Amino acid sequence: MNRYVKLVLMEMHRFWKLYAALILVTLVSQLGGLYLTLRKYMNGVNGELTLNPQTYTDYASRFGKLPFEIAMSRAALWIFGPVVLCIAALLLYVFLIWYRDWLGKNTFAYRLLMLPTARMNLFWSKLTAVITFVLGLVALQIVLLPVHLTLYRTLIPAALRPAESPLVPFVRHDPIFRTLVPPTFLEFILYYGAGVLAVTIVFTAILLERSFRLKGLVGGILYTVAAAAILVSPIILVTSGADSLAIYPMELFLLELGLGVILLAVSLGLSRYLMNRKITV
Amino acid sequence: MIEVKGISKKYGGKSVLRDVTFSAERGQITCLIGINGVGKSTVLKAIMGLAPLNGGQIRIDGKPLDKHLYEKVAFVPDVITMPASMKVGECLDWMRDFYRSWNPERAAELLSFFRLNPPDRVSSLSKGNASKLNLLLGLSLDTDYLLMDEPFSGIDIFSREQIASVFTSHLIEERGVILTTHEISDIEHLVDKAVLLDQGTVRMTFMCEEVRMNEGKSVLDVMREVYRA
Repeated sequence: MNRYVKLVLMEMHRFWKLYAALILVTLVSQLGGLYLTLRKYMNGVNGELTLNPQTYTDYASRFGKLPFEIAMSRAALWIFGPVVLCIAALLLYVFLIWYRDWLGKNTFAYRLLMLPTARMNLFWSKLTAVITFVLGLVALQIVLLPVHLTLYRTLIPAALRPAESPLVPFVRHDPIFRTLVPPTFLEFILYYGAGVLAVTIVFTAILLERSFRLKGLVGGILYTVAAAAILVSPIILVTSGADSLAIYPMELFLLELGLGVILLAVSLGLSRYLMNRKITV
Repeated sequence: MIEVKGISKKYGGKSVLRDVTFSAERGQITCLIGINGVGKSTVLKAIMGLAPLNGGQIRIDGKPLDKHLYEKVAFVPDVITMPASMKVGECLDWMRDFYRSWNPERAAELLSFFRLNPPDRVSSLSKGNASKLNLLLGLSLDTDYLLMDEPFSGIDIFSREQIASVFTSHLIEERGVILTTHEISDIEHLVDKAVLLDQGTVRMTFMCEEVRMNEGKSVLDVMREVYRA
């Protein structure tokens, strides 16, 4: 097995307990929260039917049915709370994955930087680990959605459900799920490409700080702000209606793609230089 | 041979190494001596590519440092270099995974010699045992050169004796060793070449045996002359 793969496995092994905890929190919160929300709804329905004996069909005609997306929105805190928690944990992990090797009593950075392999493999392995963890949590979410639907169908009688409760329209209309599971390949490239680019830029900023300490910290912040400004400025110019940048959406997409590729190349080149020439323990 | 030629290093505008030049040959123990803060550790880090230089060059057997030379030169720093959560046995497995020059028989021999327990976590090791683990990880690599930063610093007398005995064993034979210390008395009899550092510069380099034979002086005597001058 080559050393890059070994480094990736090592990074995954070092995070697996926290990652497993995130998965567990997501499972318990989403399934438990949806179950409680649906039970509460059914308790309300059954209470009403106890006071005024009638069928579920009568109830549905008086009060309306409970579509899947409404059920999900009623359980929003339980559903999206862990999603936000996972996103926050992974954002923190982008920094932790570097700084835990330097800070504290145990300076693992010594050992990592003295490995008989290209130092950029450390960079690639950390980037791969972050991307894998993100995609893993997204995959979990995709797997959980049909489970949510099954739970909904199990707990809510057919008379109280719309005839069809397909997942695809729900995923396409919900702003968070639409971002996590983009409906088109272009959007996938746009969202996940932007994510990889953002992580790469932050990694470069961290390496600047690890190489030049306080000056590097300032440089890293400036680099991140400059990169963000370069990426966002065409969008701002287009949406503000500036005559100087009257372009079609596809042209804007290609412009952003080009800028993204350039920034990615600059970040990787700078990171490589810092890893090989400037980084210090 | 490790050749250090005119290296200089600044930290935040302050010069910590100025035109430092010396060499360390295989089969010899070269000792960088000086009080704390004179740049001894920085020299070792620079040799290992862990501290970028502002000037000068370093050659190992005539070549600049590259990734392949990490199979040829081992560094034992004065800090613990493995994650606190790892067990001693896992540290050995990890080294075997990444280094072709890892010698498992020697690692097992040293594990027994230093009385380290594979199930112990790195975080639970005493200062002395952590130093021994560091030394084990460095010595178990079949390298031509071994760099050690303050191997006797802050550890008890028995651990110190145990580590000192390594220097007269087959574990060091044929290798080129560079070590740093600010307390020469314990290891004076082991050192072949002394490099006296002061305020980032080399004040004197000499072969210890020659000075002992020709001038009847110990390393400590020479240090007194140089540092009090």
